[in-house]
Amino acid sequence: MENQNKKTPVVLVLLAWLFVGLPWGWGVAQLWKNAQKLFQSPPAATKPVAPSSAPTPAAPSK
Amino acid sequence: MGALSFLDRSHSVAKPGFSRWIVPPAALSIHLAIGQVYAFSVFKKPLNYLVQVSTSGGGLKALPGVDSPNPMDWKFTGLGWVFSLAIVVLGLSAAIFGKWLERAGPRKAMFAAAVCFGSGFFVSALGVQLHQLWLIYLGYGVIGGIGLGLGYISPVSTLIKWFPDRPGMATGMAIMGFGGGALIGSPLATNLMAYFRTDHNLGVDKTFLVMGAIYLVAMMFGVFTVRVPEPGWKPEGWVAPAKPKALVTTHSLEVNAAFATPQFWLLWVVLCMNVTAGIAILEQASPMIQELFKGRITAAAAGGFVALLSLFNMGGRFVWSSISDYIGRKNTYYAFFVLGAILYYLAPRTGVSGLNSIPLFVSICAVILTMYGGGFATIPAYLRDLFGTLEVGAIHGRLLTAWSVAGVCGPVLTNYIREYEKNKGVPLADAYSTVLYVMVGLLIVGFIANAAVRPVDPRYWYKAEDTNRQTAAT
Repeated sequence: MENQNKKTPVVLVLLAWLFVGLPWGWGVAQLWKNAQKLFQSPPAATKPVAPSSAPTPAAPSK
Repeated sequence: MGALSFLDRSHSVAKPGFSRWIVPPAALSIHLAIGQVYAFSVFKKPLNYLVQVSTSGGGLKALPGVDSPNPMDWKFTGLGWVFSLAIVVLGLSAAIFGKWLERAGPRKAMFAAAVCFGSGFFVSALGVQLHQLWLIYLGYGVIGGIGLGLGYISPVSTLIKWFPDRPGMATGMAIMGFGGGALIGSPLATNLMAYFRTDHNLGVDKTFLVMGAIYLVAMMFGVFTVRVPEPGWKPEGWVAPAKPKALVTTHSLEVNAAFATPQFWLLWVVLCMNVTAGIAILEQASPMIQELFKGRITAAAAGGFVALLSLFNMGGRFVWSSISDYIGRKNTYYAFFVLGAILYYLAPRTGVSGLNSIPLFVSICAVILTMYGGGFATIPAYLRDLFGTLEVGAIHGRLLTAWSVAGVCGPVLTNYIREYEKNKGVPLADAYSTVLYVMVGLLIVGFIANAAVRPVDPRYWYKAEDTNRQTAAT
């Protein structure tokens, strides 16, 4: 006879959260990678790419 | 019919000892799936180049925003309607099927949502195979849109019943999933298309088929896991407050009665204003940051900014709705409208002609986006406070028409004001300021509507409150 008051095993609760948490975490990681582009350095054109005698354009003032 | 009897409400009642913490993942499996709709734009360029690539080969070498040179290909304008149609059908189906959902129970509604959303992809795959755009409208827009509407509202009232002590947090969790769905849907679609792509085929049809199958299975997890509490169930050790807060009712209303109250329409205005203002930022985020900080923000960095905003939009759903359990729903919306109005006013002043601070601009937009998401996530608990739990899912469904209206008004208003200012010769950076100042006005309207919310008049209360139906709702 099945016990009607049987508690849901904690492992089952964890598995349920993993089922949604894993793909979600993967999605957040992908997005975070993309979001980091905002924090990367200013446009490459403002950086000197090679030593040159010609004057390099000044970096925009902050 | 017998084979599907397990979907009946009576078969989904939880046995004693069932952990309520299983229900949020069940709800999330639905919301994370249907949230894919926000990532539909990843299909637009491949769908625009189907004929060009199949005839000329060479894979996808499209220029952003430029239509395929092949006249047989679908245009961007036509493809844009797929997403709009899906969102409009979401609002309509949530409003139409909400009452049925309350009767049928969450399991049956989630099952219908899963079948509709999955089938929407399958019909769309056929549309790609046969190159018939109307099949994409029918599949993703209409059939998938019905799945969106049913899926969006189906777990809400169940979560509210399982978490009477934290209704804001519980619904916030599910609705955060809707915000996070695009985070999975976008890279999933991109990777699948890359996997199926050949020289003469962009792999969109196969991607649709696989995604339809994946989402169908993922949503079925929710169908089989969700349970409704037994009538009269309460969390262990929890006692309902002896003196409930002023706006929290212990009574319930039927959806039609709630629809007739001024409170319903005040909340409709509250949601509509909050969403319209949020859309103004979302719509212009990328061009606005590039224009305000000309020469300092690249297109790639602007893309990163939009991605960052998505994270805050998602996080705000959980954070604000959880906070609302402590400070109350009305105060939460006051925060959205007061803080929002200040931030919308300040945002354009952070540009190069003002404070010249990128971190400040980004922070302001991030906070605004948390409030945009928070507005969606807090509204079900606000409805529960005012109208009780009896038909809160159906009431929520009808309120979502505010979202449909904001979804159309927000972009139209934003683009119209910007164009109007541009045509007057106003510099583009200043044109954005005008848009945001108009949004401040809308937020003030929302503030007034929120301030006008009072407890519901007892004449609207559900009369047969001693029936089983009422008991089941508590």
